[in-house]
Amino acid sequence: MKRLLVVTFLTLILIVLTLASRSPRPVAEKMTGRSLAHRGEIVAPQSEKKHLDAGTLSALEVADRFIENQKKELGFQKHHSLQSVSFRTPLKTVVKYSVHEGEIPLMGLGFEVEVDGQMQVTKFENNYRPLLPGSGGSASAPEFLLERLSPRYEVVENDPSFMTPIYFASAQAAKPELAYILRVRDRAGARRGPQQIIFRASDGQILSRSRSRSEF
Amino acid sequence: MKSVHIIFLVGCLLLNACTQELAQQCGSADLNLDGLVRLREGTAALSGPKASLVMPNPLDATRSLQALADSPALLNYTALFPLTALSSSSRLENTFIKIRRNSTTQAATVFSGDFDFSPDTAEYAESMAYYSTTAMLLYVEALGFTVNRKRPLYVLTNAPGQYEGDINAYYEHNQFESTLPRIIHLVGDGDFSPAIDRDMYWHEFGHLVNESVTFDRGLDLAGARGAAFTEGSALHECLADYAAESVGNKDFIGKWIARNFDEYDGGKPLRSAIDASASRPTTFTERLLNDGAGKVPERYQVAEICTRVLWEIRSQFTEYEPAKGAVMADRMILSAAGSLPTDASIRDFHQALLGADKQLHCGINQRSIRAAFESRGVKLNPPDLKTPLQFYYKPIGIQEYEDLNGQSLLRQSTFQEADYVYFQIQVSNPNTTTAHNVRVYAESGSPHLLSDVYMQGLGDLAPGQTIQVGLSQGLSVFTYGTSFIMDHAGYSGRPAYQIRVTAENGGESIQAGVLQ
Repeated sequence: MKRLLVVTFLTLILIVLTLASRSPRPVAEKMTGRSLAHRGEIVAPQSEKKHLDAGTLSALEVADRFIENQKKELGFQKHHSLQSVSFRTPLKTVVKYSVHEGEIPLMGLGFEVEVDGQMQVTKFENNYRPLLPGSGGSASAPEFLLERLSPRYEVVENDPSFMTPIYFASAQAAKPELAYILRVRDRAGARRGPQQIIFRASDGQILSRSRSRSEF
Repeated sequence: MKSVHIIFLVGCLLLNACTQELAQQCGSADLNLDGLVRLREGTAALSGPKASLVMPNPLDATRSLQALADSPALLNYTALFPLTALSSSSRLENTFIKIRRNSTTQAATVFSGDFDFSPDTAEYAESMAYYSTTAMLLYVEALGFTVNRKRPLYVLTNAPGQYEGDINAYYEHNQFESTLPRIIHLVGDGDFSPAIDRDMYWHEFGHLVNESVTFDRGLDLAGARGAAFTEGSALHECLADYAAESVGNKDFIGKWIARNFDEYDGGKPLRSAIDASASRPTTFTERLLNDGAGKVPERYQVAEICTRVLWEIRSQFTEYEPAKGAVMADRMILSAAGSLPTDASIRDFHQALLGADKQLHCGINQRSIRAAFESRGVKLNPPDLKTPLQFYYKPIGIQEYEDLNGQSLLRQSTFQEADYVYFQIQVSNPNTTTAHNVRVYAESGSPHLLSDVYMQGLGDLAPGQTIQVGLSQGLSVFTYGTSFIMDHAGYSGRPAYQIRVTAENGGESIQAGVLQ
């Protein structure tokens, strides 16, 4: 009787251990739903397994193929091109795509594709809009533009980023405007330190500002 | 009796199989732990150029307040550290990291191939800059993370200050454009120059790492756009401090640079990852509170509490295996950052750490992660607010102008003449529970109101408490206010917008408006 009890007890322990080892792997749940993300939405694709031969592809290739398959549905324009940066972590790879027209980037437009360790696309973020071409916009002389900025901003001299071109489109615009990025110091701001400003190429209007991260 | 033995044997075999499967499923393989430990200790490279350096700085190396950059006794504390992956033996640069003194347009200093300089020289600072940034880069990459090398990183060891006597360090991410370089600015070359302290480089490089491991999503995008405080800004500083502290294997940062400032007694660090002083707050609860009377959360103070949480978690890992445990903790913490959203909160980070632990370590640290946050006042699910926050606001036009002395100033103006629109606001918590992570958003409904400081974090608001942000009352609208840039081109209408106020444990309040 005593032996039977011991055997039963050990058998129960074995069953518990076996069940524990088969519990589902703790990974982030995949989202289901639409295959097309509207601007700014994050969704997981519906049918990535259908068109991805995940076993032999790198995460970047998986993401590239995924984007190629989405382009038509997203209304991706022929005058736009993509540049990618791939970020690997121990848990996943994220490929970020920035949108360019010719050599000039379009500020804020792009895609983000997340690929897990099994080479499955688990997340897709769409920040693309099918904007009209921005080329052909007029630009004023650099001297005029700097004159307009000078009361407020001190230009960091001789910098390679001096007036780097970029296309800027506000949330409601159908067509981007040519703009420049410049590294400056704010003469009047409450917070000092290096800054970047974006200003319109045609008239010098400030369109956006960003600050550096200071230690104190 | 024999059958019991057999069952016991089978049990052991099964248990062994289960453990192996668990380890494999939890993704804890593929780390060269010994190599990582060598990288942490700066002893990875056996050949190639090396620099003579006092590590991490004269004060920490000698533990003496008498140590200065030109102290002859420092010779006894120098050791050789590898200068890995130089493009040539005479310049401290490669395709990614470029060391310069005060400008990105400057040519790299030409060395003779010898990197043995006194700590009070510019060449020493450059050698320290190259070693430090490279060492952190190699360590983070060996942990399994990509550091975005698509743009160069310039490190300026003696960058121009913002004012006479300025001592500081800046990290410039150049978020807007995908071809511009990243820049670390070390400012100030006095007796206690930040440029000869390894921790300054590790902290600033930590900001670049933060952006890479969060995939450039903007861990603190609002801060980059000008917000005075957000929980994301505190997380950015926390992770940068933690990187310097953990890889340096010491629970503080900034003893050397703190000697420049009167408010720090000699030998006290800028920030500590342990509760070193009974007189200073030790919880998020104290640091995040906005009392409406001038006490506002400050990013570095909140970051310090956050590093204490991380240090406690790290201590769980290092208790049995000091060096390897630290590597495992670093990997989990950076992996957690990869789950953070744009403008992340401290609760987001709490949740992300639990998730990373589940994926990497099958969740064996869940209890200690929860305890570390909860003991400092951050619970994942605080009590919900029964009523949304109440607020009143008033937009004001602000115009830039130049006075007779050529000084650039700001003044109030009509909206038709304004360069910017700022929002004065009063936010009240009518509930009997604290409102956590209160945020104010300004959202444009017009192409002529361009996004500027689109969000400000106001911290935690106690029951019945009111916060005011204004021109002449409460917190300064120019520091704590949200704002738009006005674009008048081809427009004379009344642009629309909305102000949104949220709390992490309650609903949101929205008011729409037009500029009259």
